[in-house]
Amino acid sequence: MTDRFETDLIEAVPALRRYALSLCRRGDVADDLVQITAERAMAGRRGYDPATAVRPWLFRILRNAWIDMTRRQITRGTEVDVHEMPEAAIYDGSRASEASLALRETEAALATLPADQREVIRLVCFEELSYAEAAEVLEIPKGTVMSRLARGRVALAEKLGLNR
Amino acid sequence: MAGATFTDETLMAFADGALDDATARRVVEAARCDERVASRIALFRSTREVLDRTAEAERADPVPDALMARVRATIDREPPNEAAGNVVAWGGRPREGRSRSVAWPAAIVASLALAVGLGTGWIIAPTGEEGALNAFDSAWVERAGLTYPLSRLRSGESGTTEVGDVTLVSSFRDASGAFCREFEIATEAQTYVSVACHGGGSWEVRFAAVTGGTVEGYAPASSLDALDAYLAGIGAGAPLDAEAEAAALSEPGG
Repeated sequence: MTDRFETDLIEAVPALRRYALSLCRRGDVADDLVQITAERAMAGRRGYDPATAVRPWLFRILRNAWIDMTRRQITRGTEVDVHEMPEAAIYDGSRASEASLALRETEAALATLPADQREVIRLVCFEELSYAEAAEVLEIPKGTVMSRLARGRVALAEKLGLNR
Repeated sequence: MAGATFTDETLMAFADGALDDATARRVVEAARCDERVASRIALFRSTREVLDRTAEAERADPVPDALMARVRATIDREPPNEAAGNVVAWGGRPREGRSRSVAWPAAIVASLALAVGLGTGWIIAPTGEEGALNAFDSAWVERAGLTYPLSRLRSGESGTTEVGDVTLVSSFRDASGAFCREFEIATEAQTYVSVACHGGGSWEVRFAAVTGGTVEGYAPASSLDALDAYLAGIGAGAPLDAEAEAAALSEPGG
């Protein structure tokens, strides 16, 4: 029954959820974001060009859904600024116990980076998007993706003592 | 190698295997005799490796079954149920970036009549009217006391109107350049998300959807979907930042 698009969407759910968690850092909100993304993807599937990779398209929908959501939250004055909360906060105990110290160090170091750098690192190094695909998701030029990514990784190397 | 300097971006792309062959060969050449180039490449390789390992650990996290079930249910619900739940139907999904403002009020009004029939009374109608819901035209906006908040309040600010407390969510311009506000009105019974645009010296409500009660949390996905589709349909630009909004609000008659 399911067609290619639907299969792709289902297969993208784990990646979408990781991306959502990286943005909102709360499991319940991340699940809602993925669900909203699925709904919008199904409703807007005619806007998707099958010749292109589906994940950047889905990531962009999710990111826009997140922006919509935060606009309302900020307006309500009840939520913290999306860019001020450390990414490390998303990792709960069950995960932390599995992660080695080195991994937690990496996560902690990532959390100290500016949000714009963290976001490109997330898309390129975690979700393995190309520079061009990340640019498409973030709606910024590819050159900007590359400079943010390079700066972020240089800073990360410094924090982790990799640049000897 | 004389003159062969590479930016961090290029060396990073090399480390990531994202460089074209010709440039990559030049980088290899440079790295052979330039310690700085070589160590820079090593830096980008090592960060990639560290991040790969972190990502791999993260991928081991299972996706909640409940979420997979929700997504599957969404996919199975074909065609997507756009007017689900408590979204005020607004007469179809505009596809192109041109405003169809003329078409909206009638559609909104028609569905509001339905809402009145279903619910506990839709108090967005100003008092003193003869019970009929008129189009959300400029006269209505004026009577409802929305002109001031729409024209003066910044996003994030709230005010009181004849129909309930209003909170401005954002400002943007549609494809024709008209200044528009997204706002929420909390009446006694319901909260509505709405869009009004300014033109010809007055405001006109162009979209309205029920977002549920005043329960803390998010508006139902269905109403946000409708709003999102509506905004896409009118070619809404990105939300104006505080400065641009302030400038728009200070325009004469804005």
